[in-house]
Amino acid sequence: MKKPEPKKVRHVKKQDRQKVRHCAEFASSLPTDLIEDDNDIVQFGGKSVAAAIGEILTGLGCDVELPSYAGDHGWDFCGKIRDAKFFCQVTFIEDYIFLFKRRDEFPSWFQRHPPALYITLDALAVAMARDERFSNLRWVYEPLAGEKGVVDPLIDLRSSRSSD
Amino acid sequence: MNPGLRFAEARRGDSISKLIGSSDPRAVGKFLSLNGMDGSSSTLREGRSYVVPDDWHDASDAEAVAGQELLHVDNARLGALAAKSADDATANRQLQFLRQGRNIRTGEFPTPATTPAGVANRPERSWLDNSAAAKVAAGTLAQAAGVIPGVARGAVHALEGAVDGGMFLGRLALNLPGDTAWQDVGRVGGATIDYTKRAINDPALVGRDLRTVAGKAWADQVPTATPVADTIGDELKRRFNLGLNNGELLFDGASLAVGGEALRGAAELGAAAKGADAAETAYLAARPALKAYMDQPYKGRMGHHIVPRGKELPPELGGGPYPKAIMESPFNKIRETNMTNRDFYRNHVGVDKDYWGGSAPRKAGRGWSGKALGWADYGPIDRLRYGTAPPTKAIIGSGLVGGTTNALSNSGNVQ
Repeated sequence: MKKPEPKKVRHVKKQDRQKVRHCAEFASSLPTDLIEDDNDIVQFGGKSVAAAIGEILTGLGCDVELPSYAGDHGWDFCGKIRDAKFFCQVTFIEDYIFLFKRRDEFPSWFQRHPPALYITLDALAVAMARDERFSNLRWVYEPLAGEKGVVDPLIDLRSSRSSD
Repeated sequence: MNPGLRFAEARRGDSISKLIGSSDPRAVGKFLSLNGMDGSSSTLREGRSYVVPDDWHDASDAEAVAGQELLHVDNARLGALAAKSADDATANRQLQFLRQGRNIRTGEFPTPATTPAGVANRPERSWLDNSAAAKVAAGTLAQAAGVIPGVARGAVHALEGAVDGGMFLGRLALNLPGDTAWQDVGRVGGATIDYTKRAINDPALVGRDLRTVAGKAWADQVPTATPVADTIGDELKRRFNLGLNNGELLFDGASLAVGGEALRGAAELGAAAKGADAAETAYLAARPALKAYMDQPYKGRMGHHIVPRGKELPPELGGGPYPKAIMESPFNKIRETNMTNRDFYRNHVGVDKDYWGGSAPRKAGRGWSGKALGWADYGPIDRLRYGTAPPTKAIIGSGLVGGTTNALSNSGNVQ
């Protein structure tokens, strides 16, 4: 008897999305690009790191914009792969904080979270871990909150599926 | 023998590189040390005499580093100015397109929402396209979602109107030779007299015209005045556009009631944040340099946006990011008016799920974390109180803003 084909996943459900770590904390050997004068910050850092992550995503087949300055947030850029649009943000404090998430339309209530978004995040995590410009990479649910972090942002999702 | 130095008097528009004739960091660094400048600023005083190096091969490494840092700071400032100028031109063009109901990027008018009858190869229909109940339910939500961007659009139109009106009045007052402002007044007056004459001859004219105007306004605001779209996607677009119109009408009505003076006054509100608790006080007491930085005025940076920077326009309005004129308007942005770094950052951490901490200058300890300072997310009341642009708060009322900002924040996306 022919085995039935697995059902095609059209979007990732909310309970699954909540098991994905969308943020990373890491150090980098790239220039910080932070500029300050005697009293205050003139330009927040993270431009070179944002550009490097953008290059990695381009190498993974994404269409990626150049990083733009986001003030206190650091540097951000948007990208797209197939039907998935994403938004990335790099903030430099003492280490770097990286955010990868779906880019919303407004209103966004009917938008879906395509699997391509999570496949891209998975591939990006592997590429960043192998990249010598980044070190001490750990994915967390919430940055600067004292989380220990993990190397695989989808590990909780994978383990919940394997236990089903 | 040439000592490799000369004196030069700074004139208006001069810079260090211009006096030296080079942008070499070693030259700039040597200029700084020869003139006793500490490298924090490149400002030259007009009329003052400066020692200018003609030869800088003997500049020390420290001088080269100081020169490089100053060039970095200056280049960043010049880059920011150039980018702002280019952004402003694009924003003005996009704003014109938006006002005309066009796609903000291509300038094209949107295609009709419904597919003409008899078109071959119609796309496959979903069951939702045939469900009247689904269209009503989804359309109602889409229309509600259009209200806030509509308020922002109304605000932009009102500001434009104020600027245009002010300029026109100024032209009337100046009455410069060749200016047509007074002729424009004459033309409008003539047209009014002409219309009055026609109305006297044909009393039904005014009634017909009023019905036309009222019918257009009704169709722009009320869902039942125009037919339901063929597909659920088109119905969502139709209802979202109605929401935009509702929001603009809401702005117009409320600003008429509130008045310009109240709006300007409201812009001065909100220069505060939730107070410090014991954890924050203890944390900053142990870090006096960071505390001094937090007590400084917040200046010259981006502010906080209610509709986040990462959000996109609906596809029928061109997709892509919202026009800068809406994103950066005082109705969508909390600026740095009279706020300290501490108050601004406290509010930013409180309302923005994508902001957890930030950099500080090296002398203040390099960085800070909201979590370490004990700063939790704001609840709905504090979001309304501290996390909403004051003019928006003044116009659209606490219930609407509270609900909307909370909904946005629950989507994990307030910036």
